[in-house]
Amino acid sequence: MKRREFLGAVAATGLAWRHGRTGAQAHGGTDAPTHGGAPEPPQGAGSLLIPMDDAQTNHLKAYGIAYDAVRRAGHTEWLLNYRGGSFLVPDAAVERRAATLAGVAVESVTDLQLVAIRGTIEQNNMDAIILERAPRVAIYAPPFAPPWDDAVTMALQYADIPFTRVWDPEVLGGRLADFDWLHLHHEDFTGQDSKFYLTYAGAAWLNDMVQADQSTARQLRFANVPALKKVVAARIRDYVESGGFLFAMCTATETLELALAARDVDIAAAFADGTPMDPDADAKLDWSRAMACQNAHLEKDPAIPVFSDIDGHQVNNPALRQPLGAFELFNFSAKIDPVFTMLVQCHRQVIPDFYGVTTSFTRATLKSADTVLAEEPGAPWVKYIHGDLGQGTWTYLGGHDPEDPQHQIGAPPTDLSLHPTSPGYRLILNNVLFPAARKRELKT
Amino acid sequence: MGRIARGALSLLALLLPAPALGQAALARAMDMEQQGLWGLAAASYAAALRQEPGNAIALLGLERVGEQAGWRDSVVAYAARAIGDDSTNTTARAVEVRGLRATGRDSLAAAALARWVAVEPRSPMPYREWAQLDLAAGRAGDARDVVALARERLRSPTVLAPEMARVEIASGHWTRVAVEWRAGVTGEPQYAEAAAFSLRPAPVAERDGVLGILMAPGAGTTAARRLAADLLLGWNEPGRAWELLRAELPPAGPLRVAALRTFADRARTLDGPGAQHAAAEAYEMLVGLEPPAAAVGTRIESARSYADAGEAAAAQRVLRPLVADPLADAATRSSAIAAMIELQVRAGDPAAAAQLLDANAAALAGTQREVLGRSIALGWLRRGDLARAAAAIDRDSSLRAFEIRGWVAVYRGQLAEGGQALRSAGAMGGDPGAAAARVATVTLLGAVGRDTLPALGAALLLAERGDSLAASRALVPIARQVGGDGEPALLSWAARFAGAGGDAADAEALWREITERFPTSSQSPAAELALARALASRGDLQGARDRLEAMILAHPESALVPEARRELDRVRGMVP
Repeated sequence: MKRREFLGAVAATGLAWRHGRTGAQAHGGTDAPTHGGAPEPPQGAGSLLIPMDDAQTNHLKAYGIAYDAVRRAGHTEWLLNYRGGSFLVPDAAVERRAATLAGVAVESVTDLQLVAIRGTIEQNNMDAIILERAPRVAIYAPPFAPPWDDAVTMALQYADIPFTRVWDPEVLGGRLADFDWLHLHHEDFTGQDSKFYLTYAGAAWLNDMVQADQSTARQLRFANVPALKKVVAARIRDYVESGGFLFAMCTATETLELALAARDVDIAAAFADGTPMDPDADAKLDWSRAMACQNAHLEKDPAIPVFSDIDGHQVNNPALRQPLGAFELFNFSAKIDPVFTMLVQCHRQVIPDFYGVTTSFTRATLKSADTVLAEEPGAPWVKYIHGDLGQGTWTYLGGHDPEDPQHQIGAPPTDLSLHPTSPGYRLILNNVLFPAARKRELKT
Repeated sequence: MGRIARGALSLLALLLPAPALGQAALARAMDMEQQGLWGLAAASYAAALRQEPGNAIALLGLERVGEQAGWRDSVVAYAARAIGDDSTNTTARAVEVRGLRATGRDSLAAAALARWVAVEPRSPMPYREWAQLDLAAGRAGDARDVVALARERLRSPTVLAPEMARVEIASGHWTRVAVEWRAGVTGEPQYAEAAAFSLRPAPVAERDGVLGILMAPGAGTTAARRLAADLLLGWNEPGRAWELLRAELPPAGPLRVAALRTFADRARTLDGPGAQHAAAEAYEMLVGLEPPAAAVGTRIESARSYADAGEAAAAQRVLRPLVADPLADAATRSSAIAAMIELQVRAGDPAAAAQLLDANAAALAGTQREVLGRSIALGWLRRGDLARAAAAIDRDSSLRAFEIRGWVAVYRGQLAEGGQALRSAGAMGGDPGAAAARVATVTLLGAVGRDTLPALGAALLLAERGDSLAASRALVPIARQVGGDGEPALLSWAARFAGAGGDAADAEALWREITERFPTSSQSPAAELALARALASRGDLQGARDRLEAMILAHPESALVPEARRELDRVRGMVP
């Protein structure tokens, strides 16, 4: 569902259950959680609650169950702020089976218990959001990317949420219109292959990456990789503007902004396009084209694998590298700001930070319309931001892998079966489900 | 404190010389600091400094407690006074710079540093202090500039190598870190441990580069190569590490002993025959360097390391001189004999071990004889000689001997008697592996439900003797004959033995039979899991997935379900 439909479909959520409310004063909680193996009630006799607080044993796969329920039944509820952002799915044998297989804790909910839950939601900073259409998910990733190199790919695979890989030919061929949600792999949209040419000179993986990028550029008739990536970035912006949901992490966030702002100026070093960066590039950047950032300054040294001062942590700049702290999720009003609330559903309010080539976003370079979803209190940077563009939205999360804080090249891949309750990965999966929501127009 | 007491103390202060008063205040300050009484500690350190302005211990103490006590500004004043008394007081200079930086007075700190440099123009200390402050503040770039300045002014391209190494770590350039540490340990070997500590986290992909720097020929080769050996050991390459260290050992003396001891003790803690072999050789080399009393333990450790490396002959070679030495003291001989007997048992020669025990019984304490007797009994069990196993412990009344008698009874087919003895030995005592074997066997015997069954005893003895495949084949007809709950239990043992013996096809067939014929048995979840793994290992991922899903759904409460879910994630490609 594109955002225009998303925002256009008014009032259905929550009202459905409000109409059906009996007004009975129900008390007491639900059954103790089981892994889908609770005695099965007669079909249609109740619902299954997927708790997302500490009673949940596998938060990440719970998103897969919810996604599957949306896909099958066309109706699932996301109970924002209720027990860590729980899901309410129809009590069907297929969902119980899936939960049992995945090790996801579920609780049977009778109609009476449901009334009590809804009463709690009504009286607190909570809301019930109807998820009604499983988003079609695309991941922008090179065909040669290893499967365990991108947190979103790993999260989707682990949660069993289907996705399609797209790359430059598909983007330029207009395929993005086929998808509701697009994730950007940690791509460098400045076309400089993360400026790793010196640090990792001679590394086979870097040579392969550079050659594949150059080959794609030639195949698509671009003079060089930076030129190709600028056009790809513009297409991605168009996708958002026309109603797409964009989620990006790590380098993709910062370099997408730079590539958009640098449409008419050379910001790539000579090793990437044969000519040095325009010495006056900073002044020539057109920030009106960018989605989230403004007034940033480029890193001019081609030997330093850093792009600009958008990133607060500067992990690859020895002179400016900042230590990792922890970031805190904002507590939004669920009934007034359900979109922001959806994006920050988590069973932990404070999450340890993690590095990426772009780890964070300096406050000074954010546009005033941006919404900060998570920040490190007192630090000059924020971690997680969101905003609108045209009929769509973009969401950026800094860092590479929430369960691999240092993320050094060559480190073994993250095995999510060892992190089934990862709060950081939950933020990624919130984004995947968020386009499934049908919701009232925002009030703020 | 009363007026008289105060008066007495004042009088004492007049009578005592200033340094003595300072020492008393210092002792009081350290006592207060230990109790966490920061304010009182600070006041006492200050009192000590008033008596001895240049006292480094008092200055550093005041610096330590100053922040908690709210005395941070005063620290700088006391440091300045000490410098006034002695402009070359390095501690005071460093405290002054740190104090000014800590209170945010960076320009004053820079001025203090400049004064320090002016007084000691050839010393790296001021630069080191400043670089370390920058590093602590996360300003790696500034620290790099400081080091560069120091190198230029002091005309030494390697000075402040440890600080520069920290700068390079911050930038993730591991080969540059290695370059710095190579210079660091060459000039100042005491940095070796710090260097190893800082280089050990280098990612796998960077390690060859690091080693290449450390092992390159040129100045500082020896210290750097020893560092490389240390790193190789930490990176679990004990063979390469030992080869390198052996070539670069310090000349005879305490340093050589320390290097060998450190290496051997670390290698001993690593798994694998390579590490144990390296440890054994290092210990053996150490034997000749240590005083005779200490060398006994080292020799035994060397033998044990050789044995753990699977080199029984070498182990016995190392021990033999001790056992055969008529002049060795009693304790030395008994330790050596005990170690030798254990080695012979492990080498599969209980007869030789028994002979050695008999010949030296008088040299061993009673409990030691029993312990060794039990080792020999277990050795006879592994050889299948039940009579000798029983005889080896006939006068031993310990719980462990009771367990061995239980095994003897089981292998003789006296299942009720054997099961009872194993139960009596308890579910938890002794080696965890042995305890698990006891519990599993008792469970099996319970499922079989026979008092005697010689064929089963004989089959289990085959496994004890290491012939898993023969045990598996022998168990299958017994399972068919026993029937009931015993049948799936025996079949699952047969399947495990088949797998352990390398007959994957037989194992798979047996697991499959259990899942199909005994789907509600307690063996079924384990059988489903094992079958799924077997299918996955030969590429039938869909078949494995079906099995795992069936297992999880049919046995959701089984303790094996988390394992099955992880396996399911793997076969579905959801995790690496």
